[in-house]
Amino acid sequence: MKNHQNFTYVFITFLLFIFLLFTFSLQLFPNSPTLFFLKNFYNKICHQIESRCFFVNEKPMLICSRCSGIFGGAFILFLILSLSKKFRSFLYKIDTYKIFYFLVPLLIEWLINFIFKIESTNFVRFSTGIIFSIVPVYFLNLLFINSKVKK
Amino acid sequence: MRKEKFLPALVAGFSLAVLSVVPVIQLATCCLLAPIAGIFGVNLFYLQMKNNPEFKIEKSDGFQIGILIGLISGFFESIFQSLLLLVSKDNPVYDSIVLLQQYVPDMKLPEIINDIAKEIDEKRFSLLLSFMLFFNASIVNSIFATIGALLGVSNIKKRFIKDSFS
Repeated sequence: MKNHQNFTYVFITFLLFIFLLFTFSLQLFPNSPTLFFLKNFYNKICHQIESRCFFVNEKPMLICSRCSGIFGGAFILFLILSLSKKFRSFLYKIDTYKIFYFLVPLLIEWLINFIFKIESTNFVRFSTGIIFSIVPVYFLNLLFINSKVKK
Repeated sequence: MRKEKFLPALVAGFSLAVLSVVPVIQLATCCLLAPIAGIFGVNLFYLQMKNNPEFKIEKSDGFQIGILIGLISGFFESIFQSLLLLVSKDNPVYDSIVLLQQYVPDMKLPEIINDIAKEIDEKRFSLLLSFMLFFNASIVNSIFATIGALLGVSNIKKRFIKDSFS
């Protein structure tokens, strides 16, 4: 059971790594015929607006800067969760209502963007994305955490 | 898989598919609406089954409902997108090709993509594109709806424990 739990964390970390790796498809596999399919697949997850994407080697990533922050943050957090059981129990002990505080920077930024029509920078979007990534990781940790680690 | 799971999954999946073709709202489909559809589906299933004294909700129920929601929403979403394509003048495949060639000018596109683009220009419909839309939507929605459904199950379990102690 214990190994099964560890495997879940490692497996999700691996999936997130693969997901992030393929966001660099335009840079890594420029001549691949699968590029079109990959772009369409990521289009289901992210709007892919060019001005909101990070450019690497003068080519955009396949997800926007905010999504890069969210998935990048989730990858780093899952990497720590798969290595440290203390962090799993630390994250578990955070109050569910308090975890929504991590949503506030993203909401403020979105409100400024959408209502007041003030454009933020890709770095700000990336930062708010990273902060927000704690929310989904917290809930996923609630699902996977071992009953022994909870204590 | 019990047939009782199909109706809640159908309601949640269809709602998700409808919302995913609405402009602006569709931006939140994968990361927000799909998990909400999962939670919604599991709660519908619980409401439907709670009068049965032998019923006990498990994580596997949430997993199955999440996958079903993903597949059903993928199916309906591909139909809605195909219908929208039928009445519009755009060719999304050409748009994607142009965008990609902007960054990779010497890109080797598979012949099948050009065939899809031509088919859309001529008939305003492509079975392959519809399948591609179904495949993408099913995978992405299944993942996020399953996460939502599992969260819904754990929430119901917590409520059940609280009720039995009070």
